[in-house]
Amino acid sequence: MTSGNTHADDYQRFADWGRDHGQAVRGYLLAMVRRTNLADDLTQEVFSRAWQARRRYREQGSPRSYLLRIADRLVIDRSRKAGREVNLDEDTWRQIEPAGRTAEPIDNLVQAEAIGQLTAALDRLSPAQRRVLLLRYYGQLSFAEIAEVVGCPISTALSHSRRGLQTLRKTLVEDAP
Amino acid sequence: MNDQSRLQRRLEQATAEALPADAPLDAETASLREGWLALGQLLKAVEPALEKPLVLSPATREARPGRLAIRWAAALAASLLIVASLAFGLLRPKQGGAIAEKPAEPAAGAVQTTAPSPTPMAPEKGQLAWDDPLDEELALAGQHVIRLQQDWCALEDPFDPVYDGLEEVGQDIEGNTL
Repeated sequence: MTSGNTHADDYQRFADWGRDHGQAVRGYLLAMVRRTNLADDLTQEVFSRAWQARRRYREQGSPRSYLLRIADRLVIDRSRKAGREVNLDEDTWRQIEPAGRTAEPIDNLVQAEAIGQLTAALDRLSPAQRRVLLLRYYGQLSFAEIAEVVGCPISTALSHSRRGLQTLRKTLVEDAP
Repeated sequence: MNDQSRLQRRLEQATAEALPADAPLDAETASLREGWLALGQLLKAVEPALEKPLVLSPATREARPGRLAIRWAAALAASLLIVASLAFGLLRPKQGGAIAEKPAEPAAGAVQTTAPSPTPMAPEKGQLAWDDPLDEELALAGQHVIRLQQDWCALEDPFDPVYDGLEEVGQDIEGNTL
């Protein structure tokens, strides 16, 4: 969305970004806030902000990194306003139902179990570890990009990542039932 | 290669999307990768929930849930007011018919046109006639709504002297007459 583009070009770019990065942004937001409606609203807000800032956007780095930076900022702003880390319980996380309603019962059970495990695992991570690992997973960002998004030195991002992975291994592999 | 570069290389391998099967991993990297793969499996298992289509629009400000909720609440409040007014009018004991307004006297010299009056027809059973009691009830309900609005407006009157006084004080301050 560079400044020399026409409105049609901008709109095409917007559509491409939605197609290529929409689900990654949504996945990141869902894993962070764990409420489908809120994640969808925030995803919409991310793209709305990207659209509003399209004249200022310059092609540096990947668009996904850019969008995830906006998404991350929204989550952090929201948690600051709420005065706590956005971290909802398993019951709320279970509001993920649109696909579950139509899936086979066994699929629902598998998904419910996965949701429970995922909730427990994410809860064991510090907020910074969660951000770093989810940005890596959904954005496939380099650690340098992650450090830039999170706003910390790369050494700190690496440290969060390592400790987070150690915790995940302990929770999901060593202590798994 | 310093410690940071070594750790970065290790973490890049551990969190790579795909690695060659024969990629040599040291013990720590392999351990970290186990944690990464376990997280990935769970996130993938939850992914079906994300299969519903994502509809994005550049302009979203107007569609935010908070604003929508306010609009719905306002619409609901207006609807309730109308329903309450209608119910009040309909449940009220009858007072002997609708308000009859005197037809205006034609001004001298004015050309009065009248449409040919249709032959009065008795309504069939089950049909409502044009002058049935429902019209009267609706007219009454309308009057109640107007009266309620007038009463509401009248509530603001007692504050007018206060506002006037404040305005005078403000003017005095601005004019340094105090």
